[in-house]
Amino acid sequence: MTMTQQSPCPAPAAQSVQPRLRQSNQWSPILGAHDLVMDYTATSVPGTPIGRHMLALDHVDFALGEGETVAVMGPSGSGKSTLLHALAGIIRPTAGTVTFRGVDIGTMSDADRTKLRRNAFGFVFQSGQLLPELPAVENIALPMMLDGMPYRAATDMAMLWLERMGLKALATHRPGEMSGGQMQRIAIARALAVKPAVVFADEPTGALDQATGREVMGMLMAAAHDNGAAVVVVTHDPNVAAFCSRTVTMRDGRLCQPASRPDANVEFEPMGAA
Amino acid sequence: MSTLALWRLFHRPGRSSTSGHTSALAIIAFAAATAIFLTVLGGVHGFVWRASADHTFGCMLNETVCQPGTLDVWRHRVDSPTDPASDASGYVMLAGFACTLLVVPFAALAGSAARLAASRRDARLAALRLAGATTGQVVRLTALDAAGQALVGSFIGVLGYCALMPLIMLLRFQNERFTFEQLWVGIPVLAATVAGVAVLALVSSLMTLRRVAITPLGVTSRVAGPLPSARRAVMFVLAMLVAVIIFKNPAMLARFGLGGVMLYAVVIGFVLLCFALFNLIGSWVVTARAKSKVRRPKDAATMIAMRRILDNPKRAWRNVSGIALAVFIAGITSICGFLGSAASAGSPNDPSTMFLRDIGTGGLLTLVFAAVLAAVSSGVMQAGSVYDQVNEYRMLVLEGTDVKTLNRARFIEVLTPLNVVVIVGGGCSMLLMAPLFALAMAQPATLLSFLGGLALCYALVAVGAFASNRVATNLNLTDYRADD
Repeated sequence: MTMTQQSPCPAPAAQSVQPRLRQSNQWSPILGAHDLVMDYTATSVPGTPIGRHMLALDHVDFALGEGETVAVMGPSGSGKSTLLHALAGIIRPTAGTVTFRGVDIGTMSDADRTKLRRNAFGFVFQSGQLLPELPAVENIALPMMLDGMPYRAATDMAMLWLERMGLKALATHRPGEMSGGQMQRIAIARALAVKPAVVFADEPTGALDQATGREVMGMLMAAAHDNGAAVVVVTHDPNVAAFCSRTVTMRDGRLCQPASRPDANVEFEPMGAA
Repeated sequence: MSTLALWRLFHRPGRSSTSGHTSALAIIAFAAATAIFLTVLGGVHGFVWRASADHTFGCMLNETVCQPGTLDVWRHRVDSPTDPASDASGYVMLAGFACTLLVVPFAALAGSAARLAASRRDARLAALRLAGATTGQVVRLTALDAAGQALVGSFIGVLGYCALMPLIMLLRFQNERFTFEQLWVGIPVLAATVAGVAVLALVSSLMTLRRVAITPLGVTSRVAGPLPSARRAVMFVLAMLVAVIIFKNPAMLARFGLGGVMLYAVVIGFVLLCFALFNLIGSWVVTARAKSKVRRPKDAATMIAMRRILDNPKRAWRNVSGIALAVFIAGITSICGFLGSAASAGSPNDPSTMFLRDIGTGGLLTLVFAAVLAAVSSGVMQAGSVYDQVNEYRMLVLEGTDVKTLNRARFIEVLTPLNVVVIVGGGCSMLLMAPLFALAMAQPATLLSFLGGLALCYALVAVGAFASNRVATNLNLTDYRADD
């Protein structure tokens, strides 16, 4: 497998000439970021001028198409997770805009962004996102219930997801009674149960061995594909990135190497076939 | 590196963390517990002062040790029917009973303070073990932390006791106000209290550590533990039945040859037994209610709350145990409201009228102290659980859970057990009092006093919930540096 190119990123001044991603008249991104800057020092100490120090995001442009899968790679501290958090509306960038279906999410109230995350986005993290007190079925049902679905309907739907993930037998088990791979599969089911437009995955296989990681990634991509959801995966692992149709690399807060991966595994086996 | 050096390393100025916040909560709890304990002790001291010829405890128990010349004056006072001194020993006995009732809420608050002081350090202690610290060092470090917080808290509590004294001096018992001399417990007692609180914290923290084995790999993952057994409920119901039967037929005790004093002792003993057993069945009652509600929760907040209760029913019970016991006390002392109102009909200077009125005031005061102890305990536990669950909160908020739902879940987590234990606690205490004071229990003054007590308890829990919501609001749930 070819590694993503590790060439140095262009200087900030050259960011404006970053290659535009898959620009065409027909293609419109579901999620877009323009000239994003994230300066944690300026956020924590108001009045601090931007740019006198290392920026977590340094004038980043990004676009994600409907149903597209993108891997964000880069060394530790390069700003990958900050980019993911900014795209998902978790943090407000110091400057720049993030648009979802043409709406600037920076202008939304906190409540509206929370609602957006609940209804339109799904999240899979490295670990620890399942509530330890809830059994698997209720962990999956939770986001649907948060959106007002009654308990019975939400748990019925969650059972279907458990069946799809091959984990029906673990419906009443709590996260502490499951393996890491099982927990990640539950997390995937939980992220996709609300039929999100975009799934954000931050090191989803970081706590798993390679074989389990591949299995989990396969499930995530297949389920997202079946649901028509776009996926943004933050990862260090080129094997994980290989599941995506495109890989971008971050270094020192800059998005420096967009690259198309026509060879990526974009076709998936139907769920449950394995 | 010595334990003291390690301790200093973790307590360098300018470091604020979750454990720092829980330390502050533990200090608040220790301070409140100490202040209320000393205030109650001051009250008892005042009654002993008034019931003794030379104002000492020794003289009250044994007249031969009284200071010369004081006994004759005292006897003269006791013989006078218009002097309140004639009922002085009755006041001391009732103050002792009130203190006994307050022991459990006090222990609940002191216990929660000690647990807060020793807990939520698992990750830090595991990291220390991984870095090569011995088990002994880790245990000593935690004990030092807990004892330090207890000392700071109890010193603040002593100041609180001094600050409360002018308020207590406004209260009238035996038709006169307390004086500073009567309420001042003395430096040796203050020192013993501070030392006692520190020892309590030490013992409790060591017991907590014994339960959580700190290995270099941290604590074990959370799995479902066994739920409380129904045997406790059976024991409680049996004790209640026997108590009600005995209270209904006091003649039965007389047949066993028990005298008047023994009869009172048995009645008080049964009240205290039921009170203690109620503490035992609390977690079972809470579990039963949560199990029934979790079958079909009406929304996400209820589901999260019920699952949290079932995750640790003891913790859920501890959150409300003080309030539940305060409600039990409200039931017991509601009769005081009736006695107080009955006294208003008689001459205000008549010693027996005065005695009844003072029982009313004393009962109310006991309830207020119990409710404040319970509210601080509940508030501290709730705020502590916010810090405890900060990572879960963060994840839920990232995934689109609104803070309102989380606050609601936490409130339901406290309110559901509270409602159940208020019904059970209030019902049981009224059931115990009904055979003894059948007529008085149906009087408006009694019921008003009881309902007032309930309202006070709910109001104080609401204050605790409000405080924990403020804590949650101040948490930085989204605006933090991502782990890039």
